Amino acid sequence: MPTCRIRSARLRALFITALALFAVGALILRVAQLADRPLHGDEANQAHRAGILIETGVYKYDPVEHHGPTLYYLTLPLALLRGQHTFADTDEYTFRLVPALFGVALVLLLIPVADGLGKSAALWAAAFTALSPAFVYYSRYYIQETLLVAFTFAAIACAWRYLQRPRAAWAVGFGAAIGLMHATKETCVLAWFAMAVAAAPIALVQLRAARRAEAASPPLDRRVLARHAALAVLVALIVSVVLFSSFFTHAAGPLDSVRAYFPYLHRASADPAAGGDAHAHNHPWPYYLRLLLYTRRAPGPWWSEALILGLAAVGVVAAWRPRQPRVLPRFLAIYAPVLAAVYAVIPYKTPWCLLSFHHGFILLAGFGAVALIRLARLAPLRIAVAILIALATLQLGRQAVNAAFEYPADPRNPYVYAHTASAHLRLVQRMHDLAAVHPDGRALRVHVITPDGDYWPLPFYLRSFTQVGYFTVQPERPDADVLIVASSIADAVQQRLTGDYHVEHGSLRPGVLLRVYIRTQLWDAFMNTRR
Amino acid sequence: MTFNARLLAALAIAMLPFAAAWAADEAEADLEPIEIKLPEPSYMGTPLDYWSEHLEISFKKREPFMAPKGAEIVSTDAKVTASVKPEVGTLDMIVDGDKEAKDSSYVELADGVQYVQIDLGRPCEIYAIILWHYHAEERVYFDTICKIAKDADFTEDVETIYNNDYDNSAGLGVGEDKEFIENAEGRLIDAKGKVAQFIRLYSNGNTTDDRNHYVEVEVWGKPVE
Repeated sequence: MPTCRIRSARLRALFITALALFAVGALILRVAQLADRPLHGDEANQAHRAGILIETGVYKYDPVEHHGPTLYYLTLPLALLRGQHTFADTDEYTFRLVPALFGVALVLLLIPVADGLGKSAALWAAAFTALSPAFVYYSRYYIQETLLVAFTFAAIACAWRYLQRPRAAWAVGFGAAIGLMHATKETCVLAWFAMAVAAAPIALVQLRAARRAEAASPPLDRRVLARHAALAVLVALIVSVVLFSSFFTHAAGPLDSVRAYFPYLHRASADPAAGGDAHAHNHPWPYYLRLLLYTRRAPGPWWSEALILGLAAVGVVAAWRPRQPRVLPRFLAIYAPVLAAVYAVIPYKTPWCLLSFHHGFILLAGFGAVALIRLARLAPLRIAVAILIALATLQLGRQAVNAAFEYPADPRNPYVYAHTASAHLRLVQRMHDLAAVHPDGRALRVHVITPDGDYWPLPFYLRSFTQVGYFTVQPERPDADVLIVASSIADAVQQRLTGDYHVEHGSLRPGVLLRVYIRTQLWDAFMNTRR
Repeated sequence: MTFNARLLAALAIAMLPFAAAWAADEAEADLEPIEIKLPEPSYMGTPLDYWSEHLEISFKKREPFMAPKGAEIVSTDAKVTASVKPEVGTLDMIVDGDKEAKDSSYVELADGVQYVQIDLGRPCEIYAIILWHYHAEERVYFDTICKIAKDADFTEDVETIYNNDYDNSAGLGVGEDKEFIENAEGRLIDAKGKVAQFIRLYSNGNTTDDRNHYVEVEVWGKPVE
């Protein structure tokens, strides 16, 4: 027996070490060169809201846009740790570190579920999580998605631990994770639905099995179960209310968090007659599947996470094989496809939404990889299969490097979506160069005039400029030191200008250009530094 | 001066314009339009909503370019080098005669200021350089600069024959030439018969992305005897 214990302890140490290595790899891929990619308009919008919180301590949930409060409140300690007290002090790292760290947490959260998946499966899942191009790319993206996936996984992990040992602490953890999911993004209800659909049949099967084995092991005390369930609900409510009410300073927040579903349902509907938007983000049902299976846009690298999908399919089959008392894989085998189907039928699609169900596929792929290896009866064959999967996994890593570092804002990258053009940073640099030669420095007057407010991420990049006006209608007197104007209304704005300007352009997104008017005197001063 | 002498002088002066016209005619008789084989026009996607006072906008076809008789493409299969290794395609594609707007026709170089260098193999009198960056969609490439030289290191008889870097963002000097929208006609740079063996073409990203592309570069000239 002592030999067995030592062996078990060594295996556990080996498992933890291997997982830690994957976590370090995941960390490197997620935090390196975080500032290089220009901010997406949505990222900049989120950063702006977090900036208000950092600067003023005020946050109010907006039920129409921007999602829940966790992203902003979790940014706050990072900003303070980095000595940043105003929006102007912040940088890309402050914001993008938040999802990056949660991306790493997804690897570490495999520890509490390792006995449910199997340690080898957990290690494969760790490798897939660390190297999945989609997860690497969006873990470097200042939006709520990675946080939502991490809280979802935390909820599943707590539920699994509770099944192993029904302690109040796991019920509290489950409730907290559910509350955090709610306070992160409204789409949490889709994950809850998939969880419920997956948990119901498995719970029934487990209950029947428990009744049959009643004599052997006493059933769980129903009163304890009810108490723990109530505790979980209470904790979930407390977490949600505390965050949505902005720590009891914004009473409407919790109610707004429920009212938010009306505009979101409206947006999700593809049918304008039913009140939905015929929206630019509406895509056909196989959109996510196509993105994950294979993408090659023009010459350049190809992209595919078919390895994960293929192994996940093996995992689904393996989970239902007889003599496989695998509650967690069976739960995942229902949960992930159901969630994927729900996302597929919603017409409104943005590529980062795929993380929610893709994570389920990654866990299943870990299970599937082990099942595939074990299919081989001879040891050399098993090793060969394992090496093949490992090599294919390294290819995922190569794609992740392409996505994060080589093609971070390039439309050939399937995860790049309505992204800010890399050429936008030229405009940002131009603004700083102009401020450097202006007598008032960054207090020079700038007018940004765009109908529909299509100027993001400029407010992030011009956060240290103190005299910037953003207009969605043409001002009576548009003159300023610099005007940044949407091309569609530039001619009309130009007619109202009274001063002399140098005119050039700036990029916003590929194909979306802004006309830039620079006072001739300022332009000449700038050019004197260039000659 | 006698009356006759005055009359003769006046006649001689009156003849001068005719003499000049005759000389020009003779010179022109030595010129002929170069036969540039153009690729199929192939615009896809959204037309470029771009305007700048540095941008040349023309809705007319290019006038035929006149070069001395016997001018030919001297760049076919020339040796091409670049500031960086291409990320898409190979450098020899720049002088392979394929100017079509296909995915298999272009070479992609990394972002930032990059150049390609063409070695004509021997000194040539260069009349025209026609450049196609990428014409499958409307784009403007920034800081298009063309230099010619007699040596590969660009130290001998270096001349800048085109430069539209109006703000010196490439750091090679301010240029007065115009930016242009890519199309199937390519950009013709008049080299005015200057003698060189090496040609360098710079660019610094474009209105769609930060990368640099070349479909084809065609150099028209004559080897120097």
